[in-house]
This record gives sequence, C-alpha cells and structure tokens, in this order.
Amino acid sequence: MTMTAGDLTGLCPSSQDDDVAMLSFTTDSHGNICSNWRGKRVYPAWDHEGVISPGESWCCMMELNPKNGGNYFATPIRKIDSSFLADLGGEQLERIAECLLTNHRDEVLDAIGGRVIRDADPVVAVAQPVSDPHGSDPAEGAPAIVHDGCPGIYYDGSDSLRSQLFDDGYYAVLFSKDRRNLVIRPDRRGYACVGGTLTVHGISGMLRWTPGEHRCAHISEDGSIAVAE
Amino acid sequence: MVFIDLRNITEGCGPDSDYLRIDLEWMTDRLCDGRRLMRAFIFDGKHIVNGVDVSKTFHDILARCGFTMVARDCCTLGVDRQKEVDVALGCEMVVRACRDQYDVAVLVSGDRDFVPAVEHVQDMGKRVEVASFDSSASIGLRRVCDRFRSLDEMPVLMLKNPCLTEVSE
Repeated sequence: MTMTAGDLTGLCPSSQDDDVAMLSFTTDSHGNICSNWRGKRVYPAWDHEGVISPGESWCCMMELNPKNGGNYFATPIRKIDSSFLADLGGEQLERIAECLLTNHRDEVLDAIGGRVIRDADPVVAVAQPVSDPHGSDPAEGAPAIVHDGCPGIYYDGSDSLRSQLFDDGYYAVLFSKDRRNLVIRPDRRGYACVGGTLTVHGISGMLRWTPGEHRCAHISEDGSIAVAE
Repeated sequence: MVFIDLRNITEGCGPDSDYLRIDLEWMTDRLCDGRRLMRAFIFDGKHIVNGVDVSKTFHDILARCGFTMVARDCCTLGVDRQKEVDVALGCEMVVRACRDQYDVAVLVSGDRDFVPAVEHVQDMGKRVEVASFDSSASIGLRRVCDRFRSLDEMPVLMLKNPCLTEVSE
C-alpha cells in the first residue's frame, strides 16, 4: 500500500526523491509494527520521533537496511489522517485526484478511511461508503472492499469470494479442520480468479460465513492471504 | 526433521476427505515455522490390489515434492490395515537422533505407539513436537511430547479442485 514520491511531490515535506513513500502499518506475527514496500518488509527506524500505531498511514522516508538490504527502515514524516487532507491546497488535491484515478486508487482509498470509488467514467469519481460492497456490478471489476480500514474478503453466499487482494491467476483454498482459519494462496493447480472474484466449487458448503459477510484478511510475504475468525 | 504417519493423519482428517485433502507441503512448511528443515519423511503402507501397488503413483509424486517416502509393503491380506509402518517410523526417528542429525523432531501422528520412541529421542537431548488432529491424538503422546500442535486449528486441508485429476484418489 504505497505511493511513490513521484505521485505526491510537494505533499510531504521531504518528498524530493524516490525514497519517500506512504505506508499503512500493521503488526506482524511477533507483534512488531511493520509494513511492506517494494516487496520488502518495512520496520520503523529505531530513532524516529512519534509513535506509529497499527492501522495508521504515514508518509515516510525510506532507508534500505545497510547491513543486508533485506528490509527497509521507515522514518515517519507525517501521519496521513483527516487533518493532513484538510490542509491540502487546491493544486495538491488535484494531484491526489489524478493519482487516484490512474495508479493507486485502491491503495489510497484504504489509507484515507475505507471508501469505494465506483466510476464508469474515470473523470467523474464519486466516493461512496462501503456499507454495501455487494452493490457494485461484478462486471466493473473488483471493488476496493475494505471494512474498518482493513482490506478483506467478501462472501456473497454463492461459490465465490471477492477481494481486492486477489490478482488474476490461480489460488488454492485451505481450511483448518475447525473451519475457523482460511488461507488462500497462489497455486497453479488451484481455482481461477478473474477480476478480483475467486470462484471455488463447493466453498459454500465449507465456509461458516453468513452470506454478505466481510472479513478482514492479512497478506503475507509469500502472497498467501489468511483470514482468521 | 519431520516424520509423517500418513495413514494416521489421513484418517484424522474426518468425513470431509471426499472434498478436502491434506496439503502436506504446506503443512510441513507451517510446522517448521521458519526453522531449517533437514528432511521430511512420509511413512505409508503400499496398497496392493491384484499384485499391483496402486499407491505407487501417489508415493512417487510425494517423493518428487521433496519428501523422503518410506512405503512398507507388508499389509494383511484382505484387511485394509498396514503393518511395519509405525515401527519403521519410530526406528527412523531414534536412529536419526542417535546420529545427531537433527535437534527437533516433528512427529505428525497421534498414535500412542510412538510414546517409547519419543521418550528415547528425548533422552538423547532432542525435542519432540507432535502435530495431530485432536480426534486422533492420544492423551499419552500429548503428555510426553515437548510441544503439541493441533492440526485442527491449522489451515492444512485443501479444497479439491474437481477440474483436476486427483492422483491421490
């Protein structure tokens, strides 16, 4: 969930080069605050000022781990919240709107509080609440399904799951025996996913979800998507 | 090092085995939990029908996936019950511990017959973790092991894709 400095030049105080990113932070399995950028894990720099909480989005200065290059350290510059958006000028808002409609629509919508843009015409975008994620036409492609700020998976009661986390391709679906845990991971022998909709034969008899239910999901480094009850 | 008693966990999978199969690669990866996997053994009996081993293809696939497949060929005629498999697994676990080839044994079975083997391995200073479905996990094995991991809570059951031929069937 990132935007490059090129997209947001002028919005962040130090966005002069490509080492600035907007990140949404969460916690890993060990409880550490983290995010992902350019395919690598990001941890807050140890000497940064301010406190980053899970679920928050920050404009950060990125630095590759000088020891092994295996991860990035993020020095937070500014928290992306409602006050940040309220302070933006007209030109900056235009820049954001342009960015939304081109490269990073779903990601930025996550960061600004869980809204869905459903637009047939890319010039006129209407922000709508996510109260009815089923309301969009599947033919329009996968909507940005978010709930309380977290991306997730939507079950409509049929043999299909929908999520913005799905890419076109094939996925295997794994359950725990008690059906409380679900993992969906890329697998060429799995079920086909097109346009954010994964159709899984027989899943309606396996899932203990109620039709219309949305559950938060977490995507791990290997691309697998985990949903826990 | 991982030791899988295939028959035991397959039976523990429950009534949904028509639709689900255990993803052994994924399960092994989860059980290693980031630790370096030395080797993963799968122990099973050969299923002989009219003198032909019908389970050979499935075992070959598991071997190609990287597992060390140990298929014992002794089955009681007319009875779907395998022999030698448990002892083979127990011996392998103890012998590898004697050779100091691992630090932690992950035993995927709930069979109480493995209790003596587990105790011998622990006597050699090794840890033994047991993973099993709750329904097939004996109390004795759970008590003696260093760590028990319930497969009931682990997403290891893969929904079969009817569009693909399931060799394991």
